[in-house]
Amino acid sequence: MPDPVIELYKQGVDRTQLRESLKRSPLERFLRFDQFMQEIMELHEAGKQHRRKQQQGSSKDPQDDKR
Amino acid sequence: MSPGNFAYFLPQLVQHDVDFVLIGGGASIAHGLTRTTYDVDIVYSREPANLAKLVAALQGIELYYRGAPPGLPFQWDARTITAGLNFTLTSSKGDIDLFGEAAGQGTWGSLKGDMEIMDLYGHPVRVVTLQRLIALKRSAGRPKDFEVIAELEILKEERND
Repeated sequence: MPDPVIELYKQGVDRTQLRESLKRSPLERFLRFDQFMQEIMELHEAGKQHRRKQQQGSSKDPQDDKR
Repeated sequence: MSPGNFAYFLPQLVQHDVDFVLIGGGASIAHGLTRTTYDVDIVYSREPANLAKLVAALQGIELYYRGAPPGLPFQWDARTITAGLNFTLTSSKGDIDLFGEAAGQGTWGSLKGDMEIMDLYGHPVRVVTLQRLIALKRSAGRPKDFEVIAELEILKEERND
């Protein structure tokens, strides 16, 4: 018997993405996943560096720019 | 954040002849879901010989309890695995969860009839079937899984299972 909660969630699922995914082999799916995670980690690292730079900038003595 | 490294862990476990089956987010990806996951989830056999293989497979990668404060005594050996059951670990190769029993009676013995072999990273890897994966997710009963279960159900429909 279908679960009404899950049936509700199913209405919001993008079937086109799943159909495209089913055309790929399991290995191809993992390779795409690996690439995606690599990009996420690069973004994550870039964000960290950006925040670090901002913190360094805000802790700098404002008089430094005038000297 | 230390994402699970399927390309490292799966070949490593297969090469050491560990009796294990891929479940969780990894199994979802293998079956066709396009989602992210941050750890490798496996169910392993609790047979003593298998524990020795599991220890060997994960040697030398600085394993530690995920989320635990530093400095706790942790030795990756058969004694540790025998004393415990499920391990959520972090490592220099990413996060990995080892389940002696996953929610929904997910032991090695009970999952044996619900596995399929997939060729992943050049190795034959046992992956829990789509049907059983849905059952495991349902048993876990976590609201965060509702969306995943819905997508897995649709995958089943699209595959005409």
